[in-house]
Amino acid sequence: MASIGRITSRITRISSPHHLFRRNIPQPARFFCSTPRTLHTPSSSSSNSDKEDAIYTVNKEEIAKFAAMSDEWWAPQGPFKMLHLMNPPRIRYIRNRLQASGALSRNSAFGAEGEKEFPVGRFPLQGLSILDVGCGGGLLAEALARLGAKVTGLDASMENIQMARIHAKKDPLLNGVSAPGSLEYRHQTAEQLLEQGHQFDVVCSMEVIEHVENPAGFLKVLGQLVKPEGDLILSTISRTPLSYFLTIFAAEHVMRMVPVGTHHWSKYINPDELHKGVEELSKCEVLNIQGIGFNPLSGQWELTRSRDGSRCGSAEGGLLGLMGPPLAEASNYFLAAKKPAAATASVDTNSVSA
Amino acid sequence: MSSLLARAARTGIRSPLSSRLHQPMAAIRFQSTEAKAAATTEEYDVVIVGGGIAGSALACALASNKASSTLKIALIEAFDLSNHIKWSPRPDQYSNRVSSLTPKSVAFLKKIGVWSELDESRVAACEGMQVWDGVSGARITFDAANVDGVQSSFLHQVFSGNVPNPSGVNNTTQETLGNSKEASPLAWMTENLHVQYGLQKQLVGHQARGVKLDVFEKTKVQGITTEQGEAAQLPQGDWPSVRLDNGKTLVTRLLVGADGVNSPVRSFAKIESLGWDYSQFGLVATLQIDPSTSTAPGQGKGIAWQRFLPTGPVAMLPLNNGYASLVWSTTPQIAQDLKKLPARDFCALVNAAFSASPAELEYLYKSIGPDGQPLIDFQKEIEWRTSVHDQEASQTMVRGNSFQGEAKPPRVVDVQENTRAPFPLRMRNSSSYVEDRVVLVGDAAHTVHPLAGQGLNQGLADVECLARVVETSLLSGSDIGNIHSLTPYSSERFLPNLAMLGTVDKLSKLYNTDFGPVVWARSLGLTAVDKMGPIKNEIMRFAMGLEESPNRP
Repeated sequence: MASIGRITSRITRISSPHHLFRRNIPQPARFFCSTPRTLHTPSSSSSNSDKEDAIYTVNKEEIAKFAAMSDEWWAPQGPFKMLHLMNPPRIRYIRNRLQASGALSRNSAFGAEGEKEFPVGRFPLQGLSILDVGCGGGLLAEALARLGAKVTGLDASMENIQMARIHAKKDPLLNGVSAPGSLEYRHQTAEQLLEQGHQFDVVCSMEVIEHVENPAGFLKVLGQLVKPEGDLILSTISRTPLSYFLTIFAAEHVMRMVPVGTHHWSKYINPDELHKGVEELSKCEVLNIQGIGFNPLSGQWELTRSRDGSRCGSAEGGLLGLMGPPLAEASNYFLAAKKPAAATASVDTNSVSA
Repeated sequence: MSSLLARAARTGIRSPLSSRLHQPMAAIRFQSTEAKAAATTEEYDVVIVGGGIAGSALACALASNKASSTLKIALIEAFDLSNHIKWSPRPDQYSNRVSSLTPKSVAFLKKIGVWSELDESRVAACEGMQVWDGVSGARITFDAANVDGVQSSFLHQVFSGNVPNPSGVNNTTQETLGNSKEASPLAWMTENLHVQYGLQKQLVGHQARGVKLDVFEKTKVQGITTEQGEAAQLPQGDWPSVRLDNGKTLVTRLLVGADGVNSPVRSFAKIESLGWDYSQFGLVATLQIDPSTSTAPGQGKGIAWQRFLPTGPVAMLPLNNGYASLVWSTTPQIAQDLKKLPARDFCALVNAAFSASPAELEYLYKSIGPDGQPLIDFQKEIEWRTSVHDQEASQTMVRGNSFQGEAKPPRVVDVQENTRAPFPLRMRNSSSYVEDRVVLVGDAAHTVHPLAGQGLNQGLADVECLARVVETSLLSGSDIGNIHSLTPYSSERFLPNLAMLGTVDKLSKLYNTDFGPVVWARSLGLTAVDKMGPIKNEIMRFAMGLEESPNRP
């Protein structure tokens, strides 16, 4: 009995992180251990057999590592603060482009709720499958799932995926019955996902392409992951003196907002290069390019005017909304493209999502 | 686990709350999981502690917005809220807590459907304001005509289209601000209970149409934690968990402190409250007046009167049907004495406060006995003094404290029973309005000297802003309790509130003296401002709540 108690209490002790690895821990296990609990407080556990503890230590350290790193991804003032702040305008941009490309009106769950700028309904992305390539700690993926999308977050780093899973577990809106959409994280590369025959209504990859080894191959794979008539939305950084100043000199070295070495200026991609790449490699038609900049006065990222002169998505105002290209795209920018209908689609079009 | 703690301790700068949340992690993980507690634990998106006007208005604002009406909301109030709905006052009785609502506040109350619930006959439009210095007699007059000028001001054009549109109550001469040449009232006077009535009616309506809004009235908060038993059973262990005295525990994504000056929510979040108590009390009362005695145009209908005395400002705010609300800031001793004085003598003294010189008032205050019994016949004394003033005034041209050539406030003829109540005046501002998963609104965030009547308006402006910020977060898929989602609220409200607090505090200090040079300078200032239209307009804009850029889309 005592040993059962010890085992179950161990499950309880690590339950919060543990059930994130194996997502469905049996619910009753968590309620068994109330009686022997006093035997297994942290201080008394050291008196237990070393053999058992040694097995436990491995997990414990792993858990501690993931938990601590998850902390960093999601710490409000941590190294990813700038990404946190960038999230709302990213979502605005995505909503906006999906509205413009007709993806939202294709989506039956959304229906007649459309309003002038973008739909006001709380779950406008319901019914859309969205792939977030290079999801990191899941900042964007969580937001998309809260808006009702069926989100698949993909990251090549197992640690990122673990962090993302740990964090997503904390929010009932992302799990269980009350969730308006769904959220699944996969430790895979885009190529692997493609090999398995998956395709999505929307493929996003934010601030990732400047970090990949082979941008051309990456664009090709991303294009193939988009369903016919689906949307591809990217963001990256231009290779300009301004972007060097802002993203490397200021952000990394002076302000220390992000760790030194986060960015490599030579890997940045200019809007025209990306435009060409998306059209030729991803086989998608580029519909919009729009810059985004951090306004130190408001402490917020703000969308600039896009090439067609529209300020859609920057309706909330902000000084940078007055700024147009080419300066507007001289640092961080978005690109939205749409895949043409059927003919060019060579892969099985059945999307698979959890 | 210890390595985790060490790691947590090493990780850079943290807010006081988040470090508190993370350090006891060992305790969370190793908590015994008592199954019985789970039954009484409920999960919410927003828990609002405090069902006063700010808290109720927030519940109302969230419930009336399309996006945020999908949230699960709890409103916790220690007192009986359902009483407010049964509120049915006699037409000749007014509660002593009256607020002046600025056009901005009225626009917000309209937007959330509360304004239309109100009884028009109990809302008085304030169309003019007479403010003068009791020591020097310098005077500044604001009236509806000034607002007309506001419309063409630069600021107005910048914010055009955003100017609140508070018509609907007074249909006599006023049209809406912004689309008409005619002036809008400066403010609307109504009882706080009346606003509460409208709010509770709306809340019940929202519940009836299916908004997930739970009101826990006559319920006290026993404790707020983030690491205790019940919360640890849920995955979202870092959500605040509010333990109620009815046995329930509410675990919430966002905890709102609308719980007043001594906010328990603020203490929980370890947010400091900075400020001081003035050595002053405010005395409120409901007065019956004789409008025919006022020399102001239209018998002073809809005019607010405020006179700065060395002991503090005394103000009379217009209500309907020959009633007015008194707010008299003075020393704690005088406030207590005034409360105990017989009604007849009290009224005489109020009349004196608006006309007699500070020296005379000093004498009159000293004529109140220790138990509030009058040592002289106040009415006779004051009538005699007034007659002397009038004689003098007819002989000499300038006399600051008489109403030579100036509009005169109406005479107070009675005070409603049991409406005299003194309360201490203080100024507070929280060092911050937000923490991760915690936000403060209204008096919990800031408390202001009531001399400009801005406390409630600031609270409503907080609520309007917070509801908008929550909506924006929802529409961008953010976690509404996340600090980054709440920061825009803090940055939009903190400075305007601080500015208002600072201005009102400076005014209070400036006027609580009869030191010669200060009186001379302030009088010069007041008179000068009175002559300078544009500056006066901007002051009025500020006082009317038009000081900030309003609703962003």
